[in-house]
Amino acid sequence: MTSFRARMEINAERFGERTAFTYAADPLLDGTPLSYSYAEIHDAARRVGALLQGRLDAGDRAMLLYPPGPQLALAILGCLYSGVIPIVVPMPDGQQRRSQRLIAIVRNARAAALLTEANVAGDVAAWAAAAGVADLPCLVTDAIDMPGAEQLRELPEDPGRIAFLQYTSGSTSQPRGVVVTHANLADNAGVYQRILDMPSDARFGGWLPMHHDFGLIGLLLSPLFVGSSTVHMPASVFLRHPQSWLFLIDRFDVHASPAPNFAFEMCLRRIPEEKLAGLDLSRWRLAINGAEPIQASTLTRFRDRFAPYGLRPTTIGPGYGLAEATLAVSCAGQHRLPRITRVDAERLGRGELRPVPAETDGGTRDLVGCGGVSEMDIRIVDPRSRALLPDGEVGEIWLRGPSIARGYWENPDATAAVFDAETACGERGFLRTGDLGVRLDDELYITGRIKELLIIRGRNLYPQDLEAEARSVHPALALGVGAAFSVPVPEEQVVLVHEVRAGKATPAELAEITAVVRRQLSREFGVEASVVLVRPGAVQRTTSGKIQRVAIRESFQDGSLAATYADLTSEVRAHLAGRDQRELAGAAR
Amino acid sequence: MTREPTKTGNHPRKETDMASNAEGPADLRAWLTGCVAQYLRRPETEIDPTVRLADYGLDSVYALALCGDIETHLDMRLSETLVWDYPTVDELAAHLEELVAAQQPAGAR
Repeated sequence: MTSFRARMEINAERFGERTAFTYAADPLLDGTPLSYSYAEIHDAARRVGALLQGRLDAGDRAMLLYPPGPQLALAILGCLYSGVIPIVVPMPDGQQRRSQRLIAIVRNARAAALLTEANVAGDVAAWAAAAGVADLPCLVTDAIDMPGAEQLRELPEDPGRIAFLQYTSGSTSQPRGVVVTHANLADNAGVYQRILDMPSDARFGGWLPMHHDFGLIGLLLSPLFVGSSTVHMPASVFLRHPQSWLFLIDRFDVHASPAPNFAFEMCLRRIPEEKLAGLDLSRWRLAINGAEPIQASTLTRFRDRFAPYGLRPTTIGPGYGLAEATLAVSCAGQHRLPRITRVDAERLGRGELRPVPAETDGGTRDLVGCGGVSEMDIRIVDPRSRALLPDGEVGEIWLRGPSIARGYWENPDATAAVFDAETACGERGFLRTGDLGVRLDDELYITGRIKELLIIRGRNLYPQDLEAEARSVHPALALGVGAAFSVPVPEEQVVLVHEVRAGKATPAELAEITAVVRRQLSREFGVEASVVLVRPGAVQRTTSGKIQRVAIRESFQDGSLAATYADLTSEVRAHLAGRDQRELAGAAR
Repeated sequence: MTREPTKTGNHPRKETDMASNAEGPADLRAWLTGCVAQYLRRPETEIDPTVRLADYGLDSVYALALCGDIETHLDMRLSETLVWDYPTVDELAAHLEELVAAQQPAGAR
C-alpha cells in the first residue's frame, strides 16, 4: 500500500478521532483554531477528489493558487486522491517577476486547470486574465455543492503514479519540475520519521508555506502519512512577528518543527525579550534546521538564547535534504546533540576535513553535521573525475534509493544529467545533488554548492569564506554584503564584489580599502584578488537573502555592474577590455 | 528542503529599536526611515522618501518584517499589505501618522 489515499484510508480507520490537521491563523491571538480529525480530513479530501474527477482526468496537472489555510491542504489531498497532479505555487502578489514565473510553470507543466478557493477566486481569475492564461478552467474546491465522498472513484494501485510536481529549480524562464511519485512519497515519509527519530503519534507544526517542499512534505504529507498530527500557521505571521512561531510550538505542544536557518536568525534578531514572557519551549523536541546552508553560530546562539525558556540542547536538529530526493536525506535526530566540528580552513580549501581542537583560533571554520546517511546509498564523488572519495575528503554528494524522484518533468536531458549519473567505477543510477559535502565518523557535513565554488589552481575556495574575511578587515565593509566568484583570464582568478559604506570617501580612501582587502585575501587564502566596491544594495540577493553570485558575476563580466571603485589585476582588466572589443566588433557587423 | 530560500547572514545587523515612546510625527518619520535604511542596508541619508521601497530592492520577506516592526513600535495591528499599499516612506509615514492620530485624540500622549 503505497498510495497516499490508501494510507489515509488506513489512518482514518485506525486513528479516526485523532487530530490530523490544525490551522491557527495567528497563534499570538486567542480564537479557536480549525481542526480536522483523520476521519474528517479523509472525508473532506475525498469530496475534493470527487469534484476533480468530474472535471479533470487522472494525470492532468493543476496549479493550486490558495492563501494559507485548510482549503489548500484539502485541495492537495484531493489531487493526490483523484490522480490529478498538483503544483502548489505562491499566490500572485502583483510583482511582475512572480507572475512570469507562474506563467512559465503553467506552460512547462501544460497545466489543465487552476484550483483555488471561493474567497480569492476573483483575484485568481483576474490574474489569469492578465497573465494570458484565462483559457484554463478555474475550479473552486470549497463550493457549497461539493459532491459526496462516496463519489470518489478508486484508482488502481500504482506506486509509479506521479503524486506531484515540485518546481524548485531552474531559472524563472525555464523552470524545472521535480516529478515525485507515490512510491517516493511513501518511502520518504518513512525516512523522515526515522531520521528525526520521532514516534508516529508525534505532533508537527510550523509556518513553512506549502509551495516549498519543506512545508508540503515536511509539514503536511509526511506527518499525515505516518499518522502524526500537524499544526499550520501562515508564513506572513511568522515574518511579521517571529515569536508567533515559538508560541505556536508552546501552545499546540508541537514536538517537531522545521525551518530554514534564516528563521532561527530572525528569532535571534527580531524578538524583543519582553515579547517572550511566559514562553515554554521545554516540550519542543526537534527544531529541524534545513533547506539552506546552516551556520554553526546560529545554532549555538539560538540554543543559548532560548535555554532560559526551556529549550533543550538536543532540540537543535540540523538536517540535509533536497526536492530531487523528495525531501529528507539526513538529520541530527531528537535524541542526540548536533555536532559542530571545528576544522582547519586551509585544509578544507584543499578538500580535506581536518578537525582541530575546539580552542584553536584563526584559520578555522566550524562545520555543522547533518546527521548520518543511513537511509539511502550515498557516495562522495570527485565532480570532475567521478572517482569515489574516501571519508574525510570533500566531493559532490551523490544519492541513490527509493526516495530519489523520477526526474524533471518533460526534460529528458536535465533528467539524464542529474538523475542518472555513473561513478568512475561503473555504479549507475545516482542523483547528482550539486552539493559539496564530506563524511567523517558517520556524519555528513555540507560544505557548499558546486556552481559557486571557486577553483583556483586546483584549490577549492568557498565564496562565503572570502566574503567573511573581507567583511572583517574594514569597518566600511562590515555591514555590507559581498559576492566572491572567479573569472577565467584565462586562468581562474578571484573577483570580490563588495558593498561599501563610505559616504563621501575620496578615491584615495577607497583605494586604501581595496588594498587592505587584497592584502588580507592574499595572506589568508594565498590568492590574488580583484576587488570591486559597489554601493549598498548593489549585491543582488534572492527574496530570502541568498547572494546571487552567478548573476553578479554575469553583470561584472558584461560591464553592467556599476562600480564605486574597482581595483583589478592587469589580467582581469585585459579580460574585460577584450570582451568589450569583441562586443564592439559584434555591434559593428 | 530545497535550497531556494537561502540566506548568508545578511539580515539587518542592528536590533530594531523596539521601544515605543511618546513621539511626534517627526520622530515617527525618523524612526521609520532608520528602520527602512536598516533593511535596505543603506545610510539613512540615501533613502529618498518618494522612491518606492520595492525599487530599492525591499522584497516580500523584508516588507513583512518591516510591517511587523512597525506594528511592534506602534503597538497596533496593521494590514499585511501595508508596504504594498503605501509603497514609499512618505506615503507610509503619512498613513501611520493618521492612524496614530485617530487612535489618540486630544493629545493623549
